[in-house]
Parts: sequence; structure tokens; C-alpha cells
Amino acid sequence: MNLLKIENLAIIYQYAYLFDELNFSLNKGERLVIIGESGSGKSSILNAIIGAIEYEGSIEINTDVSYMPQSLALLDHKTVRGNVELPRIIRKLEQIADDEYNQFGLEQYIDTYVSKLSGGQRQRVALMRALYSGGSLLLFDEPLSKLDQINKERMMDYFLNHITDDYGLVYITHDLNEAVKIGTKILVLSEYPQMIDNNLETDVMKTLLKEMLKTNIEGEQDESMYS
Amino acid sequence: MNFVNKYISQLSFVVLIIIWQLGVTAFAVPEYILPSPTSIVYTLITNIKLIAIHTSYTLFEAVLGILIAIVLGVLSAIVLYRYQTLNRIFMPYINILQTIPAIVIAPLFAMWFGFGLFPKVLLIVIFCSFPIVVSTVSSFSQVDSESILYLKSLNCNDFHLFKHLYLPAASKSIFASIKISTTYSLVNAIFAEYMGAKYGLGVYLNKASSSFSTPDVFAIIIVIIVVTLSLLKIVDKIETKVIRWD
Repeated sequence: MNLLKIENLAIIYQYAYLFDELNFSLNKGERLVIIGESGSGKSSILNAIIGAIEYEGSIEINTDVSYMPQSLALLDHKTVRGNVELPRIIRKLEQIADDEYNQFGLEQYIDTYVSKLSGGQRQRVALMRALYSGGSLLLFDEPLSKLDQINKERMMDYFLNHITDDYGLVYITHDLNEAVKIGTKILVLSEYPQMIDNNLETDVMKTLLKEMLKTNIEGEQDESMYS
Repeated sequence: MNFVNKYISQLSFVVLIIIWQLGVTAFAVPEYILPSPTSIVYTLITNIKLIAIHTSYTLFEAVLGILIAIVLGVLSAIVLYRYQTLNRIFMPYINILQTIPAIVIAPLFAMWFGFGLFPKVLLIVIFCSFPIVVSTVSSFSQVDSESILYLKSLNCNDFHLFKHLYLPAASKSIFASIKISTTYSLVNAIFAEYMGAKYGLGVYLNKASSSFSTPDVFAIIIVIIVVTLSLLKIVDKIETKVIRWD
């Protein structure tokens, strides 16, 4: 069974379709990266999945979701444990053992308020919270956008090491490097969204994505000339 | 020099008291116009038992009033934020009522409800809950939208939303408004007692002013300041205990 199945999804923003008839599905072990220009509707897809906005079409979710927004949405008034346990309390799941924090390098910060942690440590708390929230569908909305390149690379490796085949990931970014490194498949969002498998050599893939995004931008410019 | 810098406010207070004492003595100012600090302290010590009895009544009314105001204020804020229609209906009235001074309402309450405990506590509850309601509703609307989305993505209910997000996020504003309300509570209690009561600082103040016992009036002012500052200190202590993440 698919973790997520989207059929004929259309999202309207300010009286215009961002896109329509978007179809895709996601299974365990798959990592779908959605890439596109600002305003192309990347975040709207996640918002539709978590039910925060209205949409046309159907979204079928067969597991609990775990959403990680750009800001990470950690609750500063809670400790590391308080944040990681929050979805488990709401979903009435058992408390996790202290040992589990070791693999995220958080064992010495379990009872520290997250407001006192560094950026990298906060990312790890958010990742741990996502993985232990009881759901298999991870929805990440540009979680690394605020990091510098070195830390971005480091966290991407960290993500890939921890997000096992037990999970399905929908990952939004506008960074080609992230898209190519993280995705098993890539959805290029434009007026005519295109899904491609990320099985080409990295540089070729990047060039392809660049071309696809460039075409879209030029297309928009052409239209605006006649409007 | 360091000592002066460190204790500048305390030292300036001592200097002010000395100037006051010397000035009143040097110019032989009558006591009913401006009593000297030593005369005020003497009155305070002489009447301490009576003042303590009156203070206990006022303090009881103020604390009871502020406690009810906190509970009522926060609960009303939750309801008004959760149900926007109610917000649109009631918020204008709350804003208008805030503009009416307590001195206008206190005699009305005395006429409607008599001179017992109820009208006094009611006056305190009404005037102390307004700042809490307004400030709490406003801080709820400033809660990080991504955190709200995150919690909603977990399909959590309103109870969890307010418990885990809105109330902790608004707690600093809530405490700030509680501090404002705490200072109002004592003043409002005294207002209400002034309109008619058997005991309380308002009653004592009324008697003192009508008999031109100015040292007693100043003694009461000192008591009001000390009690208010003590109440604020208690609120501060509770705030430090509650908001540990800051």
C-alpha cells in the first residue's frame, strides 16, 4: 500500500491555479524531492497534505505524517525530550528510552531547553522528533535552507543515514544539490509538473534540472510579455 | 566610586528623605500640610496594629480578586481567540469598559450590591481581568504560524494546542499583564472600600483624610507601596518558576 497517493491535485492561489492534475504516489523507502521556483506551490503541496489549505483532487494518506517546516517548529518552552515526546504524547505512544538519544548525539542535552541549543543541534532534535513521531510519512519543507553550505552537506549526510527504508520522504527545496543528493525521484514543479527518476550521474542530473527550471522561467517571461 | 554607582538609587532615596526631614523642620511646615518622615514612621509604628487589621482586609480582597481575574481572564481569552465570532461581539465591549474609571463604577456597585465583600471583589475582578484578556488574546495571535501548522499536522485537538503551544508561548505576556493587574487590584480594593465598608485601607484612609491626620495618610501610602511591591515580587518569583526556558 502507498504511504501517500495524490490524484488530480489542483491548488488555487489568488484566483489562479498554481498547477492542476498533479499525480504521484510515495512508498516506503522512496524519497521524493519537490523542486521549483519561489511561488511555484512547493509548500502548498505539503500544506494540502497536512490539511492546512483547501484543494481539488484527492490525497490519500495511509500513515501518520511528520511535518518539519523551514523554521523546524521546535517549541522553545520545551526541553529536547519535551519536543521529541510531544507527537508521541498526542498520538498516545509510549515514551522512548534515553538510549535512543545517543544516535543523534543528544544524550547530554535530553533535559536542556531547545532555546539553548545551537542550530545544528536543533536540526537533529527536529529530525529525531520526525523519525520518532509514530508516522512513516516525513514531510520536510526546506529544513536546511537557513544553514551554510558546509553544515548543509553535513546535515544532508545525517538525514540520509537516519532516514531508513521504513520511511517515505517528501522533501521540498530550491537547491539543486540537495535535490540530487537526497531524492530517489524528483518532481519539478512548474505549470506542467514533471516527475523524473534521480538515476543519472549527478552533474548530468543537475544540468537537466537547471534546464527544466530555466525553460519554465523563460516560459513565464514570454507569457508576461503578451499579457 | 563603585559603591556610589552600585547603590545610586538607594542613596538618592536616603538623600531625599534627609532633605525632606530638614526642610520640614527648618521651615516649620505644619504637620497637616506635610508631615516629616520621622512623624510618618512614628504614626506607622504607633498605629501598626490597627493598620495591620485594615491591611489584612484589603489584601484579602485584592488577592481573591486578582486570582479570580487571572483564571477568568485567561479562560475568556482562550474562548475569545478560539471563537472569532464571540471575539467580534465581545471585544469592543471589553475595550470600551476598559476606558471607564473604577471610581465611576465603584459607587454603582455599592448601590447595587451593598457594602459587603462581593461588590469589592467584583470591581477588582472586572478591572484586573481586562488587561489579562486583551494582552493574552493579542499574544495568542502572534504565535508562530509554522508551530501551529506543525501541531495541526499531528491532528491534535484544541486542548493540546492551547496546553502545548498557545499558553506557554503567551506566558510572558500573560505574566506582564498579571503584574499590571496586581497593581490595579490594591488600588481598586481601596476605591471600593472608600465607597463604604467596615474595614480596609480605604476606610482607614477615609477616616484619616476627613480628620486631617496627614501622617496617617502618608503611613497608608507607605503600606500600599510595600504591599504592592511584595505582591509584585511574589508574581516575579512565580514567573521565574513557570518560565524556566528563558
